[in-house]
Amino acid sequence: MPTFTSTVYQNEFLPDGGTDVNAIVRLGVSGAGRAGASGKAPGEIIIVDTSGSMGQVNMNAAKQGAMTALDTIADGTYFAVVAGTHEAYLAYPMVRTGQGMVEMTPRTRAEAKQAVSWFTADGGTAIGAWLNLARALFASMGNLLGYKHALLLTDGEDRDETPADLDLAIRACIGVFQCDCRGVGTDWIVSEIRKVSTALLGTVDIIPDPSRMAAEFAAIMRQSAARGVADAELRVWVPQGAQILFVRQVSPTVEELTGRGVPVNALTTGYPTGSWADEERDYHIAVRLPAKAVGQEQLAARVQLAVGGEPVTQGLVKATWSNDAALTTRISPEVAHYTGQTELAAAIQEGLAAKAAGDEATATTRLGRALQLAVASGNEEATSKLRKVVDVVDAGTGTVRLKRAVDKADEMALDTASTKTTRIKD
Amino acid sequence: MTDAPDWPQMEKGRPVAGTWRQPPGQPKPPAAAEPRPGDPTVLDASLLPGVPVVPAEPVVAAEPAGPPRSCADCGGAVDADGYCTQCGAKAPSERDRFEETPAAWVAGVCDRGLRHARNEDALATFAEEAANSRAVLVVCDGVTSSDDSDVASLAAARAARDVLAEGRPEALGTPASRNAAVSALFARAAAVANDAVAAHTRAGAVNPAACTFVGALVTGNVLAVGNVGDSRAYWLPDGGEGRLLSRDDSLAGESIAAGTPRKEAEDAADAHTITRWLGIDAQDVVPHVTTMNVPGPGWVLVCSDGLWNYASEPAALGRVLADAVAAGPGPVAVARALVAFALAQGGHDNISACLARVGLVPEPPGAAEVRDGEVPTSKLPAPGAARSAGPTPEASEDAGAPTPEEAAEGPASGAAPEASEDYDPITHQAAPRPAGSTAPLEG
Repeated sequence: MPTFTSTVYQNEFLPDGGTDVNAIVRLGVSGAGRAGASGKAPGEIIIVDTSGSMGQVNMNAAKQGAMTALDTIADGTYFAVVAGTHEAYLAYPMVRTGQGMVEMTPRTRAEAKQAVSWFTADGGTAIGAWLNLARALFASMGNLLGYKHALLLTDGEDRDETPADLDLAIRACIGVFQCDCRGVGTDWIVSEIRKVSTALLGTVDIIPDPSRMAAEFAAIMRQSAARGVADAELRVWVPQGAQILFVRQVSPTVEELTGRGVPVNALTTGYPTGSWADEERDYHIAVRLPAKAVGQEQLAARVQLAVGGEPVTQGLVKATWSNDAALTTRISPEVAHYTGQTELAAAIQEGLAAKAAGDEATATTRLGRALQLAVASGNEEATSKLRKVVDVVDAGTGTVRLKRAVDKADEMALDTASTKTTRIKD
Repeated sequence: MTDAPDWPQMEKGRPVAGTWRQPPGQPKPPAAAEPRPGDPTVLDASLLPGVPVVPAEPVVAAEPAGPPRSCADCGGAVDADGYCTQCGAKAPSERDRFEETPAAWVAGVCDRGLRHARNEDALATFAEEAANSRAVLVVCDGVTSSDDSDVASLAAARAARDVLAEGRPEALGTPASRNAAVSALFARAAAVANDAVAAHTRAGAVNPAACTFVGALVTGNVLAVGNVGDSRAYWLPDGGEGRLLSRDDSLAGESIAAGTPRKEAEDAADAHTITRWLGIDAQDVVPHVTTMNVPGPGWVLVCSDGLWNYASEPAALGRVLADAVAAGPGPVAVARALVAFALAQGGHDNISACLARVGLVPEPPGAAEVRDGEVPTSKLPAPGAARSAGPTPEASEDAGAPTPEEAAEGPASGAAPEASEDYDPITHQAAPRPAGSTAPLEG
């Protein structure tokens, strides 16, 4: 049986007339077990870009990767393999009707690997169509499946459909399945794929070297199989008359959740968090309350994790009004740290966007600020990736110069890693 | 927005069957049209397009155990986490604020106040249903600097209440024997309360639990009061001048006894340092005991210093009480109003207020005059023995010798056995009683 924990980090003291409460709520799961270990079987779909741009090297690496992923998927899991070009094809199972996914057995694994071996690089790229097929395949299984997950590999820009097509497909997939996305090479667009991974509660990363594809796919599948707690929801209750300013996942990555809330009841909003392995995630909650008299204490938010509609753990965010400036002026170190990490992610993304648009002044300022924040907070991954894009003059003041020659893959790696945060230093 | 891609064909969010396509160039699967055993080709009717997937009903979290409480601010339900489910207001815990109304004429309200983190005050009450019949009011104020005083004070208050509720000293025949029985009863109540504090003190505690004790026993129009520490009992008659019946065991109380004016003594920095208390480090837990006959309608008030700090003089407290009575006449409403008064004054300490409405029973002719006095407390009197101590400054005249009225009252008050050397005032049994029928007296 999984166990759930919650810890709240905040300064609950507000000055006289103060209204805004900030808190970091750490939610944790342990003993999650394997996906599908209890209840319904899990479903996995491997989506491989087989467009002409993949070429021989990437195509062969992708085939190896897909086969390794098939080896990693446990027997009993339902699965399918999708081949994507400007159209979407069901490469395996080789059926034309009925259920579009099959149970993994030694025989189906061998057949699926054979189907993958027939992949040829040809045609264009329509990622929305691939997602639509994956959604249709999951839907063809009715209520048979519990946890539903896809792995999507692409190498190029989504040229053969409109951005609206992609958005429509993404929106239709929200809540149906989770999707981890990987890009190979440097011709794909990070922001385009991040749109998919963010909406579908997955990750995005670059695989700069095709030879690393098999290991990466195996890792994703292993991680996926460890998500024993399916479809958990973050629930935030605020008192009558209060307002949620924002709800944001801040660890392990920054994910803005505010706009994704759905009402649970008049005072409670639910935010999808997908499935959980044994892990901890931190959320930054900001609530605006009507001010109360000095000395009064009240609850500002109940922050819960709900699984199957049932709250399984709850953290209490409080507010106490006080005249004691020593209490009210203290800023929670956790709130300060993650506020910085959120700004770091934005600074990197804005800096890279400005650089791509030729606005070197903005790019220099924003990436300089990013470096300053990364160094100050001990975010070593962001620091080392920033150093591949900028020359550091003074880390303390965030003074940098843009490097003249930058490897595109390094820039993309910095972009995909921008949302990864560190925990506060002890 | 463009049209959704036309393939796979979707209808109501479900794929239309028969539309999966394999990649061009992929060899045809062997006997694809012929289902093989184990092939996923059987289409479950429930999976057909258009069969809606009914989402599971949202599961509502189980109600917390215990009776639902409602929020004092907005009336919403209070959650198991102690906060209102509507407005988020912190609901006082059961220990932080509680009320007792054992009968319509008796009530007590105990409140944490505004400054203290815990409510270390406690009260316990008992009353028979008939107005002005029998009631017990007990308040124990836990000492803040000691451990677990909140637990200990409540245990002490309840233990003392149970002893006082069982005792019937009024059943004795003569004032002398009655006074002795009252004294012994209160001594036993304090001793049992002291044992309760000790039972809630952790072994080796550096600051062992400690609390005060004040109890009032109402029997018709006879009022008996006993105390250890600085919690108080007042008699506050309607329209008349009230009286403080307890005697503070505090540095202020000692100064007053030595002649310092009350105001000056109580304003001193160490005024609240108590000189006697209940607890394992207590030297002497024999209470001061006072009895009186209530002359007419009025209120018995038993309270902690969280209330009397803001109105110590009987006259001042009487005015506060009159205002409270004007706001709402019942004992609960009046007790709440007294607590609200203390909160409005700053609520610096825990607040307890217990009230009984008395003096409504017509007195027997000639019995209206007050006969009260302090019973000796230095040692337990022998059962039925005449008292030897004289009146104290706060106790008034004629406490010792029986008056004709008192003598006449005895037989009329019940069918109790005559006071005698053999009579035990605690059990109201003739001695010798069976071994082990009661705990030995301590003090």
